[in-house]
Amino acid sequence: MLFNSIDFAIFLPIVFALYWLLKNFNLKIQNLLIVAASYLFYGWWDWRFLSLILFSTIIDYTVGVYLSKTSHAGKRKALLWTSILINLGFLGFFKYYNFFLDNFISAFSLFGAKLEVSSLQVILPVGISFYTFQTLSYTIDVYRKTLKPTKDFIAFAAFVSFFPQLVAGPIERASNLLPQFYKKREFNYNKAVDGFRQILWGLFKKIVIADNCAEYANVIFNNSDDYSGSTLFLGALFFTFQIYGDFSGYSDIAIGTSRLFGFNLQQNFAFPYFSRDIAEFWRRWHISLSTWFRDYLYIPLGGSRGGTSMKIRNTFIIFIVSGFWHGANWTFIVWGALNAVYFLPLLLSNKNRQNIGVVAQGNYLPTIKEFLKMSLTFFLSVIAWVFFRAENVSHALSYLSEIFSLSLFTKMEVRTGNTLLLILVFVIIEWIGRESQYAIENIGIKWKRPLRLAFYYALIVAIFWFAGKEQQFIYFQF
Amino acid sequence: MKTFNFKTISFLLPLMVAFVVLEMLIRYIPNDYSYKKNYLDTNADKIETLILGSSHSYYGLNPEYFKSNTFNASHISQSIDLDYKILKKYSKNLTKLKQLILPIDYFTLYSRTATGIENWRLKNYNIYYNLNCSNEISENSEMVALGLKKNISRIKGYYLRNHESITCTKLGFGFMETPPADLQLTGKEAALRHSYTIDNKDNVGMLNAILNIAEKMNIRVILITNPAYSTYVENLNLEQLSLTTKEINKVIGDYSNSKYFNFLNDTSFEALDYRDADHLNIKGSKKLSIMLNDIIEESNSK
Repeated sequence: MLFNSIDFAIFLPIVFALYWLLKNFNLKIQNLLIVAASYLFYGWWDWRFLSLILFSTIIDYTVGVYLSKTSHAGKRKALLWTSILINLGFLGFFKYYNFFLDNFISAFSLFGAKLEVSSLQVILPVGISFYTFQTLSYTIDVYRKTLKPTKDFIAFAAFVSFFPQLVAGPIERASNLLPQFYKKREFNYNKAVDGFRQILWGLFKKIVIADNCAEYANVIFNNSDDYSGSTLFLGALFFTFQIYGDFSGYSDIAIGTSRLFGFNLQQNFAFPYFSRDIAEFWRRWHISLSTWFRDYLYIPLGGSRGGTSMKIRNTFIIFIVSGFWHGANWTFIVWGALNAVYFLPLLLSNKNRQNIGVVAQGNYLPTIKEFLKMSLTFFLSVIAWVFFRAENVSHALSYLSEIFSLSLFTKMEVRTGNTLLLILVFVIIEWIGRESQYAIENIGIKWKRPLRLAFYYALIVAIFWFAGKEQQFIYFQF
Repeated sequence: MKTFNFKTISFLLPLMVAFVVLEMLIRYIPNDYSYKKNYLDTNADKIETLILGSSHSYYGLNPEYFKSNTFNASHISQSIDLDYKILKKYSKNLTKLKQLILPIDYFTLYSRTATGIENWRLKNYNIYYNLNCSNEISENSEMVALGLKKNISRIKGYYLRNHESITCTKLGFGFMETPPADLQLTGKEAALRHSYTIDNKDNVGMLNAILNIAEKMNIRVILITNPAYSTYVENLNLEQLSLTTKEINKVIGDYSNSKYFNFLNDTSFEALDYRDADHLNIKGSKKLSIMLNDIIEESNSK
């Protein structure tokens, strides 16, 4: 079920009403409703893959229970690896099987050997990368004894399948989300209104910004041979806003929906395009994934301790794995490696934590220096997104070589209508709200009620008015 | 909680009311689908020749040039599954039907309205024809399918500026006078757009289902492949084309009530007969309609 569908618009109020009607009953029944609703939400897309979620839930719950019963280091390690291998095994099969197979065949053909192995027609289960990482975080935390294993299967099943964030995150840590299923949730008016506001902003980002940008980005990327550098740069710019609107919009809807049900999810995007360097960008982009890799991969590898070569190695590993997490294509790996290249000079010169706070905090405008830094960081991310969007690496390279040619200074061949103006309005609103959790969190809060309502109605009318052709959420494929 | 529910409902209520009012206003605007449905509801028992199919038939076959009582029930991008549903729905009312003209073009056995770029048209079959093609809400609502901007423009056009919204003639022909398009460009583009790599089993099943109904109704089925300009034909995928021909030959062998006429390379159609590389213009449609009428009359006289 898509957040921007009528199906969800019917599903949500029904589940919401049932959920709060049950609040005076047993907490387990309320959690069971969440599990049922989440399975319905997921099964709406393809019910067959519910078995994967259920299997993953049973495995990690069982591993957790057994980890609590044994203190034998060897047994604990075996249990941990059982969970890791099963979860990553599913992920590897569904997401990476054909990639590895094709690359093995290509590698063998370099030596003159011809392998006759046919690839499989595998459907990628929506959100498998997200819930796999979420359940893994539970098992690893239990193994590390930083989290007590749960004995409440229903609560654990609800944690794994919680529908607002099941298919595209934020990837919640068990230590944050799981305990919320143990406690009775009380309805909080302000929290629910805030949730609604965040859903509204998420829908605006997705439907108005991302879907409209997607129409241009798709045309330009799919026919890149026909366009000049200026148009290709515009295409990359559209994709830059498409992916941000799409993914951060989804996260806003997920977080807002969770708030309606009394849950707090972690912030997943913190205005990354206002970052002053790439290190700051990565602290603000897809925060739940970045911190996951930091805690479960980068730090165990040694992090930024050790010598220069160790730092370089770990940085490349984390960025490349992060890129590969997005999809089974060399484009994602190159995208990750390119970000590592961007990041390394900051790390090696110990400047990777120089921009921690919000840019131009308390001011209307940034300083010229801040503006130039933001522009450079933004430009670097636009270039990196070309690899993310391209069909293959050679497509990305030819796309970029055209951008960096003299045709960059020719007239654009695409008419953009109102879309650039929409982006400008969007950037202004985001700038105004950059000190909040999401852009409109505090906009209009102190206005008089009619004015505030007019602002929300204007956003809703804009959503219906500027609705672009409906596009699948990009991150569903990951 | 009560305050929240009350405020939420009072916030959303004006939006819901506006949604319903706009949906009603749009549905009251007459269109080709509502017109053809009403025509079939009231005149099905008088029709002797029924034309189905996509834009190729819509712009290519004019019932005025048929001697028998003919109606063109084709629509732009109407795929064979929708042809089947329309025929099935009216099969009991089409008491005088003698022949059905069913185009099997290069793409017919490989494409569906529901899965193509024109899938927004599916709502017309649900809303106006009541064919129950889909339970998706987005395919059962004008407001959801087309969005606010387009619908406001339709409402303004019809209610304020009296713009006519039915584009077909009384007998269902798509009468449209447009300047000719670039035949080179449209030929290449259309051929590419109509080339598929999908399995055709379901659409062949639909073709068989139509022929079954026709057999039960004791009517003839005239299968045709519409004429197209050479720039379109030259760019077709030969494998898809030969597979289509193979399937057609199979069904005409299986069903004695069917005959096939291939106009794809018919040299009597020249550049001036086309509005673009795969659609006839008014002149070309007259030519094709007269040719088909002659075929029907000739077989009636036997």
